[in-house]
Amino acid sequence: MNTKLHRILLGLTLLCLSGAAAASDKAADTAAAETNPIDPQAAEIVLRSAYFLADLPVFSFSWFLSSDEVVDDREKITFVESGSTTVKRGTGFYSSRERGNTYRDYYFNGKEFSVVSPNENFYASAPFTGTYDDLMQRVQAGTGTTLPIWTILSADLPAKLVAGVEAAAYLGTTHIAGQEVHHIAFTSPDEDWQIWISTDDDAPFPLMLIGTRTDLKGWPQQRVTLMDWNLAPNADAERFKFTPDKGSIRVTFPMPANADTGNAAASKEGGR
Amino acid sequence: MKLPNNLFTASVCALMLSVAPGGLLLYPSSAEANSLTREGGFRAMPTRAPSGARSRDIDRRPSTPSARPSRPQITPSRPAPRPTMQPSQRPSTRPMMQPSQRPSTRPVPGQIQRPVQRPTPARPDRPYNRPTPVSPNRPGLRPPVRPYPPNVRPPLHSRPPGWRPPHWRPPLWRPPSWRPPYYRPPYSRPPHWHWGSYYWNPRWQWYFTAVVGAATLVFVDKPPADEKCVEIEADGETAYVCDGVLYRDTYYNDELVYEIVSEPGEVIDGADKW
Repeated sequence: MNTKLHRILLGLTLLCLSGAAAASDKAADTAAAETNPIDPQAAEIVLRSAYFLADLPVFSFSWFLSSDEVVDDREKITFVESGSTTVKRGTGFYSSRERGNTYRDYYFNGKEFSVVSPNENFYASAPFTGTYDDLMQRVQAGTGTTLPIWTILSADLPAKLVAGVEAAAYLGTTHIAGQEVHHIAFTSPDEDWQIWISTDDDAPFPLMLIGTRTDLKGWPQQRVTLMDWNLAPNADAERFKFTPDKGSIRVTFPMPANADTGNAAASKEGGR
Repeated sequence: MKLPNNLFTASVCALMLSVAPGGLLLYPSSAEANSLTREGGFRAMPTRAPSGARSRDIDRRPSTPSARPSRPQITPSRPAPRPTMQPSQRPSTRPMMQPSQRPSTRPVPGQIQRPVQRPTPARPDRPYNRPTPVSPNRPGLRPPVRPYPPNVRPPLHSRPPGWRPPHWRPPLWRPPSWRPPYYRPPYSRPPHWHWGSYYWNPRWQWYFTAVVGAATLVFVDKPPADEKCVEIEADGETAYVCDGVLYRDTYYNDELVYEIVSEPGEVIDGADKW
């Protein structure tokens, strides 16, 4: 843990206990603790895991995602996808995604971003400089594609987790695949989500997340299972650079509405 | 009190003469009687000159001799004297009647006597006191026969157009101050049972088709197959020219599509930027 995490925990504790400190007697303290919608223990565990991930220099994991889609406002269809991700903070990102009959590999080495389709034998590459968060926003805006499991990989994960949270509850411990985990539930105006975090204080990895969109009809869910956490993966520079085969077809990214405000604009806005 | 028989007979005859309808004249002259029985019963000029107050019978003016024949003198006949009823001497088998003990109607000294409220006699000059005219029982003036049973409401055609019962409201009517109940957002509107989802109104028909198509036709799944396309490769990118329209392979929404780069004659600019 670093000093940033300690500051957050201290502030969170003071925030939760501020109402109790104002009261004079012990009964008032107990009542204030009961009426506080955010359980301090739940917030502490989640923030500790978020800062742990944000501070990891390199790591890799596998994931399985199932997402619901409400069709015709009544029928819920579930789509599944899976893949693996390797992250080297600031300099490298690689992820493979398998969804339906399509396979995609995403490469980013800090200078160039590439999307590869191994089975369709095409690829698209474009220079890009910026952080992972900038890349995610640019890809989503330019191609309509969302990089897989991008929220967990964000450096602003702690802020994203606590943003808009109205209530948090610690539901105790349980087991996932033989590993003991904390079960925590959060509530926000548009989405409720649950997270299962390992009870290992040295490696508080999130092992499963379930998000429920309460602002959409049918309350669709997204369920993510995170597996095979590795803190020493292969993070060579070649791992994050794509070299096309000779017979591969190069495709382009869509032209921006204003071609002059392409990568330069993105670099100005989010380049760090 | 027992009246003598002759006096009783005289009283009965006098009463019969006074109440006889239009029969025997009880007025001093027939002219006066005719005037009084005239319609309306009002005369602007009095029949006689005012004579003022009279103190003595001596001032009475002598009556003029009448030219008319004298009224027939009616002499009431006396009925035959009834036989005197003698009480029977046999003993009565009925129970002896006791005198009634009803309360006395005489005023009791020391109590306030209120006037008796008796019903006012009906005045025939009031319209509501006039007797209902009896309709002659002949065709045309007979009251209409009810064409339906008395417990069945009248048919609709007998009511005026637009007639509604009291307090009638059209279906789904609500008072002006009515507001729908609060519904928590988000407002996801279900599709209409007939119109479906609200993305398209059938009344638009083909009006906006060209606009929508031109605005959205940026990417196509495949180049047009019915036209001969020329494949162009520049800077490692593959493009196709089909009937003067330039397509190029593009990665969009995680799929390979073909982007319409330019219309015939349009200059390509900025294609290598992203």
